[in-house]
Amino acid sequence: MAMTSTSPHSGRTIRMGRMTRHNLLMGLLFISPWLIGFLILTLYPIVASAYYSLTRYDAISPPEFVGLGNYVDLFTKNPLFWQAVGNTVYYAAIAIPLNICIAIGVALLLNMEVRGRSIYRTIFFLPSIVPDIAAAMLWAWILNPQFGLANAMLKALGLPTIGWLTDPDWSKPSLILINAWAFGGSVVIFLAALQDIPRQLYEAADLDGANAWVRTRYITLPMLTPVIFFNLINGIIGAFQYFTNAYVITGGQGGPAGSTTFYSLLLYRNAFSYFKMGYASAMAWILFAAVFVMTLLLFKSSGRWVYYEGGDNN
Amino acid sequence: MSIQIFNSNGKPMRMNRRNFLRVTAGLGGAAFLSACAAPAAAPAPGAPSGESQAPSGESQAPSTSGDQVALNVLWENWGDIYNNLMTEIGTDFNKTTPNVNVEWNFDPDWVTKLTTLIAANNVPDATLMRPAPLANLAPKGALLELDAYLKDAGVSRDDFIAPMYDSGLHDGKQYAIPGGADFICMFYSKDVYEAAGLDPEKPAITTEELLGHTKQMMQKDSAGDIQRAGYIPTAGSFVNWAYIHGGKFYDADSGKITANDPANIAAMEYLKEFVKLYDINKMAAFNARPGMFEAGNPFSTKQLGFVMDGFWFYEALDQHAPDLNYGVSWWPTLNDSDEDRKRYAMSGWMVSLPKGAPHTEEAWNFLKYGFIDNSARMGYLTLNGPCILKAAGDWEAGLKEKMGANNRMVPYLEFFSKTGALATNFFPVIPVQAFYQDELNRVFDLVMRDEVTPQAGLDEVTKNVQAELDKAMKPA
Repeated sequence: MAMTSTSPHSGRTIRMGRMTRHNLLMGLLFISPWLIGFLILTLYPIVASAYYSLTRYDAISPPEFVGLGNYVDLFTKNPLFWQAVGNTVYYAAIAIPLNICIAIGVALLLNMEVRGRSIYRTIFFLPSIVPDIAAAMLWAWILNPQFGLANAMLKALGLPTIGWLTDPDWSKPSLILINAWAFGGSVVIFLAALQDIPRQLYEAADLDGANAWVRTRYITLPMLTPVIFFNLINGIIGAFQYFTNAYVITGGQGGPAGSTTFYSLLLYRNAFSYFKMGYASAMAWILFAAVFVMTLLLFKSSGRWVYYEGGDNN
Repeated sequence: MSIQIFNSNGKPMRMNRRNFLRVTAGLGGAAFLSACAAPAAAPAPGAPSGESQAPSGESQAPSTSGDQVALNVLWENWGDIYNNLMTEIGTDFNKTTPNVNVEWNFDPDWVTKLTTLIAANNVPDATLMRPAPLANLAPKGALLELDAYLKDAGVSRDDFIAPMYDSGLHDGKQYAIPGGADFICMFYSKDVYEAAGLDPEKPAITTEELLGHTKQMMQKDSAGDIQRAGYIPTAGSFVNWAYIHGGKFYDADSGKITANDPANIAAMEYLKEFVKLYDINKMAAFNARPGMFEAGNPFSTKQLGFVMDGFWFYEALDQHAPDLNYGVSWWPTLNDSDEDRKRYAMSGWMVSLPKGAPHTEEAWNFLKYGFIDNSARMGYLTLNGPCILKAAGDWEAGLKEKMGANNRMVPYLEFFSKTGALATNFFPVIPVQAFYQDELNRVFDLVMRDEVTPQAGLDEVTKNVQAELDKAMKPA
C-alpha cells in the first residue's frame, strides 16, 4: 500500500517512501500512549460535553435532548448565572492587571544590582509554591475578623477593623488580595524577560540623557510586552476558572450574600451537587466561548501594542 | 536494536525491534481493552424499579454463600478516628460470618463516586445514603427496594425513629434503612448564664425565653465588636425552627413546594429578631471564629450562651473546655410541651443496597447486623444516634461507659434519645433537595442582611425550587 501526503507549498501529492512510511508508523506508535490518552481523556470529553450541553443529563439516566434549552435557561431564567458572571468579571478585571503590575514592579526591583538579590528572589517566589488549599487556609486565618493578623494590625494603628471575608463588600477584594500574594511565578517570567533586554539600548538611552522613568517607559515596558501579553492570556484563563480559594474559604457556599459565587463554583455546584451534567456542560461551553473570544480579541489587538524584537510590527 | 529475553528453558531468545514493538503494542491494546470492559457481573441499572425484591433467591446476582466474599461498602469519610470506629462494626460482622469480609471504601465525595460507579455498572455492595441522593437514585431504579428484606427481618416503621424511616421512602417503597440519627439538642453555658445574671439551672425552654436570655447575654466592646452572645441563628438551623413554628416545605399530595408557608415566614422573622441584636457583619465576624469542634470556639471560651448540636459535641468540650460548666436541654419550642416537640425535624444517614451489586444477600445481612440488630453498639461506638427505638437504653448505657460515669454530659443523654423518639418531621425527600437547601441558605443570608424580606425571599425560593422540581419530575 502506498501512502501519500500533500505538499503544503506546491499542493502536489507526494508519494511516501518505504522508510518515511515506516518512520511515520514508528513515530505514531511511540507517541500512541499520549495519543490514546489525548483522544480518550481530552478530546472525547470535550466532544461529549458539547453534546451533553444540549441535553438534560444526570450521569445515570440516558441523556434527554433539549436543544438549546440549557443555554436559554442560563441566559434568561437563572439570576444566579448573572450574579456568578458579575462576580467573575469583577474579580478578573481587578486581579489580572493588579497581578501583572505587582509582578512587573517586583521584577524591576529584583533586577536591580543589590546585595542579597537571590535571597529576595527566593523570598518573593516562595508564596507561588504554597499549594492553593494551604494558601486559602492560611489567608482565612490572616483575614479572620476576630483573631486575624490583618485586623490586629488595623487595631494597632487605631483603624476600624474589616470583615474581610464576612462582609459582602470586602469578600472579593480579599480574594483578589490573596491571589496577588502568589505573584512569584509571573515575577520569574518578567525577570527572565528583563534580563533578555539588550544592554546597548539602555547605554544608548544613557548617552541621550534619558532618566530612569524614560528608560522604563520607552525601553523596558515595550520590550516586556510579549511577556505581558503572555501573562494577560494566562491571567484571563485562570481568572475565569477561579475556584479553589473561593471554594475552600466559603465552604462551597459562595457567601456572604452570594458575593463569592464565582462562575466555576456555580458550574461545580450544578454538576456535582445537583448532578445537572447537561446544564453544567452548557456553562462550561459558555465559559470556553467567552475565554476564546477574549483571547482572540487580545491576539487581534496585540499587533498594536506587543513588540517582538526582530518582528515586523512596531 | 534487539532485546534479549529468555525462554521457558532459561535459554536466551532474541527479539528484534519490530517484534518488540508489536508485542508491546499488542499487550498495551489488550490491557486497554480489558480496562475498558464493563464488569460482567453487574447488570445495568436504569430500568424503573418494579416489584419489591425478595430477600433471597431473587437477588440480582447469585449468592456466593460458602465462598469467601469481599463485601465492598462505600462510606462517607468521617476522618480516621470515626472511620476506624465504623470498621469495628465490619470486624464484628466478619466474626459472625467468617466467609464475608467487609471492605470499607471511605470517600469524602462519596455521592459523586457512587453516581459514577452506578453509571459505570460497577456498584458497591452497600453504600451510605442520604435523602438528597436517595431522591435522585431511587426513581431511576438504581437502588434495591428493601421492604421484603425488612419484613423478613421482622421490623417495621414502628421499630424505627419515624422521620429517619420515612426519609428512606420513595413512592411508598423503602430504599434505605436508617443508620444514624442526628439527635440535636440545646447546649447552654451555665457560666454565661451566671455572668449574665441569669439562673443557670433554668435554661431557655421556649422560643420567647431564648430570645430574652440572648438579649441579656449580649455584650459588645466600644468598637461594636461582639464580646459575648447568646444564640446566633444559622442557615442550617432554619429548617428545624420552621418546623417548630408549624411550618412545612413540601406538599406531597399536590407536589408543590411550600417554602413560603406562613409558619416558615414566622420562623424566619423570629430568627431575624436575634440578628437585629447584632450588626450582621459583626455577627458574621464573631461566627468566623474556629468551628465548634476546634479550640478557641466561642462556646468553649465562655463567650457564647447557646449551641444547637448533637451529643457528640461532648468530646470537643472535654478536649477544649474541660472547665466549662454547661448543660443540655430541649431545643426550645413555642410552648414547652411534648406535643410541640413532636414537630422536631430529624436528619441523619441511612444505608442502601445499590441494584446490580454482586453480593446482595451478604450485604443485607451486614446491614441487618450493623444497623438493626446492633444499632445501639454501632451508635455508642461511632457517636451516632441509633435509629432503632428500643435500642435507646443500651445506647445510653454504652455511651456512659464510653465517656465515663462522671462526664458532664451523662445527666443529659436522655434529652437526645427522647428528641429522636418525639421527632416526626424531616426535610422533603425530593429530587431537587440539594438545590432546595442551597436556595434556603442563600435566602436566609439575604434576609438576615435586610436585602430581602422573609416573605419575598421565601416566595423566591418557592418559585425557583418549584421550577426545578417541575423539570426534574417531567417524564423523559
